[in-house]
Amino acid sequence: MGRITLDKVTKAFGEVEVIPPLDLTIDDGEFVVFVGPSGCGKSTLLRLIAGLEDVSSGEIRIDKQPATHLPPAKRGLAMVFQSYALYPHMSVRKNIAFPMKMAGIPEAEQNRKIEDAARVLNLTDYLDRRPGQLSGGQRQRVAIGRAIVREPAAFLFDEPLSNLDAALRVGMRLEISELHERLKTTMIYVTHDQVEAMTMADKIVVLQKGVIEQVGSPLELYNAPRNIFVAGFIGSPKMNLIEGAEAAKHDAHTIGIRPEHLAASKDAGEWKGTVTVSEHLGSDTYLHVTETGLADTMTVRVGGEFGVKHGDTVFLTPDATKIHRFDAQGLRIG
Amino acid sequence: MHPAIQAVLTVGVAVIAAIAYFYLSNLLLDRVLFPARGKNAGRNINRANMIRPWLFLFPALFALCLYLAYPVVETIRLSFTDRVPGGYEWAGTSNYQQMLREPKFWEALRNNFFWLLVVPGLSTLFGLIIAQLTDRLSWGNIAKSIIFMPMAISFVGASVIFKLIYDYRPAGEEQIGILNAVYLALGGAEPQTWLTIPGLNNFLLMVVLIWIQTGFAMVILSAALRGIPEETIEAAIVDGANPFQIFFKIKVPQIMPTIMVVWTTITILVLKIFDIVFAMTNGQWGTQVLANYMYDKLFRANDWGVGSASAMVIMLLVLPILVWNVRQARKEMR
Amino acid sequence: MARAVTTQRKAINTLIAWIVGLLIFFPILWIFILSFHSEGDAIKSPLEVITSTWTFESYATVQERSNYFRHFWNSVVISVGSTVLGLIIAVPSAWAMAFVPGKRTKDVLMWMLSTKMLPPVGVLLPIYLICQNLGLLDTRIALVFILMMINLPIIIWMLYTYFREIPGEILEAARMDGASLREEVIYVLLPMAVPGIASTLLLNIILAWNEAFWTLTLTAAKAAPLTAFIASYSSPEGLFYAKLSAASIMAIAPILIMGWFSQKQLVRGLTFGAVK
Repeated sequence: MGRITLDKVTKAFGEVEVIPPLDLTIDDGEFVVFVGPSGCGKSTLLRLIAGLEDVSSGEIRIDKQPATHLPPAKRGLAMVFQSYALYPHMSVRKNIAFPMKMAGIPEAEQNRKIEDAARVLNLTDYLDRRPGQLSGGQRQRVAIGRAIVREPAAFLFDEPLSNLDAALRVGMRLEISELHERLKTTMIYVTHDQVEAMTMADKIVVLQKGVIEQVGSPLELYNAPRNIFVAGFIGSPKMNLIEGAEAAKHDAHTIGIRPEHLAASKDAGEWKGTVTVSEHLGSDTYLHVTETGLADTMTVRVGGEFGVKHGDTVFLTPDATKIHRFDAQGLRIG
Repeated sequence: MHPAIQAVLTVGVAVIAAIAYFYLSNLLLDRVLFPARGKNAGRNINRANMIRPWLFLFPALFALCLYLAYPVVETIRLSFTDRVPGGYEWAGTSNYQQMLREPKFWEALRNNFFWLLVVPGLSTLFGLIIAQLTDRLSWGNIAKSIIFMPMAISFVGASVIFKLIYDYRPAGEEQIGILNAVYLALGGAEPQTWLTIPGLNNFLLMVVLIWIQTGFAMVILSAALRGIPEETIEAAIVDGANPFQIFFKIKVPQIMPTIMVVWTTITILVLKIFDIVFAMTNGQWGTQVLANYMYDKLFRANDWGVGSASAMVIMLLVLPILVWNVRQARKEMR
Repeated sequence: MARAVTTQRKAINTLIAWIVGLLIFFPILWIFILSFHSEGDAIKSPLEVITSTWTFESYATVQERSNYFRHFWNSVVISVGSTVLGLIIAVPSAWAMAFVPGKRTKDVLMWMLSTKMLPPVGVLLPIYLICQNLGLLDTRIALVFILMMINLPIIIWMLYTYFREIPGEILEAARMDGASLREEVIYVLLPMAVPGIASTLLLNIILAWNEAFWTLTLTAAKAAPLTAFIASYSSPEGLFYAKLSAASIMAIAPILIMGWFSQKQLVRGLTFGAVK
C-alpha cells in the first residue's frame, strides 16, 4: 500500500535551500498533484520521494517504513519521466521487462506481466519495436507500462505530458486518470499546468519556492484560495486583484474576483471601463478592460458572443458572493 | 616467448588489473568503508557518493601525473645540471647561457616563430576558402573527403611523400621529383635542390603541414558554415548585400568562434612541430626548429643539460597559448 | 530557397573544389602510382611512368628486405593495446565527471586539456631515462603505456562529451528500476554510448598509429612501428623510389582507409569536442 509521509524534509544544494522544512502526508490510493511555477521545487520534492536526491534532513516514510536512506529501487516506487527515459537500445518488450529482470523475476512471469501491461496500454502490436519507432503517445505508454509491471506502492509522474502536443495531451490525461481509477494505486503527479492539476487530482499541493502554499481538493483551491498566490495560480484566466479604496469597502487590503464572476454590460453596472482587446472564442468572449480605476487591466469572461470592440465602454458588475478578500500579508480573510 | 606476445599479455594483464581496481574499490567503498545500513546510513551514502567519482578518476589522474608532473620537474632540474661521470653536477644557468650563444638555437627559435606565423593562418585561410566554395554543393562532399584525406596520414608519412615530390636529380637526368619536373616544364633553367635553398626550404616544409591541416580546417569550417541560419543570409540578400559582403560581414563573424578553435588547435600543433623537420631535413640548411634542436642535443650531442634547457623554452612558448585556450574552453563550458 | 548563387556559379565552384581536391590528393596518388612500378620505370619522367607496366614487385621487395609485417604488427599492438587500456581507464573517469559532476570537475577537465597541449619534448628526457633504467627501451610495452598516457586526456574528453549527450533521466530510470551501478553501466550506459565509444576507439587508434615523436625516440629496430619504419626507410638516400613509395603506401593505407570513415571523430577529438 502506498501511504507516503514527509516529516520536516529539507533539501539544500550547497548553500541554497530549495526546500525549507516541509511536512506532507499522501494517503493510500490518492491522486496527488504537485503544481507550481517552474523552479518552485516540485520536481525536487518528487525526486526526494523517489530517492534520486538525498534529503538534507528530515524523514520520509513509505507505508510507515522509514525510507529516507533507501536506494530508489528499494522504495517500491515507479517513476515516469518527462522525457519518458526509455532505453533507446532495447525493444519495447525489453524496456518493460528491465525492472523485472533487475529484480530477478522468472521469465515466464515477466512475459505474462508484459502481455498484461501491453493489453491495458494498447501496446501489443508494438512490443518488438524500438522506442525510436514509436510516436510520442506510444512512448509515454511504454514508460507507464514499465512502471505498471513493478506493481509499485506509488507511481511518480514528472511532468509526463509536457512533451506531447495539445490534442494528445488531453487524451493521455484521460488515460492516466482511467488508469488510476482501475489500479487505485497512489499517484504523485508533478506539473506546472494548473488545468492538468484541476482535472486529474484528488488533492492538489501548490508549491512556491519550496514552500507548500495550500493543500486541498481542486474545488477547495478554486473556491477558497488560502492566499493571493494560490488565488492567482489556480484558475484561467487569472483572478483579477484589486487594491485600494474598492478593497477597503470590503474591509480588505486586496480583493479578488475571477473573470467568470464579473458580469459585463454595455449600458450600466458597478464599474466603468474601456475595452482594449476582446478575444472571441465563440463559446466565450474574453474582454480586457482598462481605465477602470481599479487595476491596470481587468479580465472578464462572458459566456457566448459579446459584441464590443477596441475603445468601447463597458460596465462591469461583480458577483458579490464570489469576492475573495485578502489582508496586507496576502492571506485570505474569512 | 615472442616479445610481441609478451606485449599483448602485458596489456591483457593491465586491462584486467584496471577492471579489478574499479570493481573492488567500488565494492570496498559501499560494503566496508561506508555501508548503507545502521544508524549512519544516510551520512554513509552521502560520503560514499562524494568519494566515488574520485575513486574512478584516480587511475587516470595518477597516470597523467606520472606522465607529467615528475618528468616536468625533472626536466627543469636537468636543465640546471651537467652530466659528469657518475652523476650530475649543479650548473646554474650555464646550460641556458650556452644555448643562448648557439646560432642554431636562435635559428630554431626564429623558424618556430616563422612556422607559427605562417602555418595556422594559411591552413585556416585555405580551409575557409574551400569550405565557402563547397558550401551547399551537391558534389562537394566527395571533394571534401578527398581534401580531408591527408589529415589521416602521419607527419612522417607525409614528409616521405613530399620528399619524393621535392626530389632532385642532376641536370640532364629525368626529373622524378614532380616539383622539378614542373619547374623545368615552366621554363626553369636547371633543376633545383629545393630543400637546401635557405628560406624557401622552410616554406616547403611548412607546405607539408599546411597540406595536412587544410582538410582539417575545411571540414570544421564547412560544418560551421552549414550551421549558419539560412535566414540571416536571406535577410542580408534582401537588404542588398553582395556576395563578398555576405561572406565577410554575415558569415565570417558568425563562425568566428570556430575559426579561433581551428586556429588555436593548429597553433598548438605547430608549437610541437618535430616529425616533419626530423624526417625531411633534420634541421639542416637553416630549417632547424626547437623540438628537433632539442632532439639533436639529447641524442646526438648527448648534452642533456642544454637539451633540457631548450625543452623549457618550448614549454614557456606554449604556456600563453595554453592558458588562453584553457580559459576559452572554461568559458564555453558555462 | 532564395540563394544568390546561380547554377552557373555553382558549377564553377564545383569545378574549383574538384581541382583543389585533386591537387591535394595528387601527392598520395603519385606515390600510389610509383609504388606499382619497377624501380627502373619509376625513375622515368612522370608521363612515361604512368604508361609503363604495372607490377607488385616493389611491395614484395619491401616485405622481403625490411620485414614490413613486423612493423605493421608492432603498429597494431601498440595502437590497439594503448587504446583498449586507455578506454578501460577512461570510462569510469568520464562517467564520474559526466554524471557526478562536483566542484572540481571542471578543473580536472581543464587540467587534462592542458596536459594534452603541453609539448612532449618537455617530458622526453626523464621518460627516456625511466625506460632506460627499467630496460624498456625499444619495447612495445613501454610504447603501449606511454601512448596510453599521452592520449588518455583525449579519450576521457571524447567519452565525456559523448556521455554528456546521454540524458541523465535514463540512468535515473535504470536506478529506479533497480539496477546497481554496475548493471546501470553495463546494461544502459555502455550500450547507449556504443557509437561514442567506437568513435573514440577509432580516433585513438589513428592518433596512436600516427604517433612519431615517441616511437622515433624510444624504439630502434625491434619494436619500431610503421612511422619509425618509414622514417628510417627514407634515410638511405632515395635511390629506391618504387620501394620507398610502396613502403609509404603500406604504412599509410590502413590509416587512410580508417580516416576516410572517421572524419567526424577525428575532428571532434582533435578539437576536444569543441566541434561536433
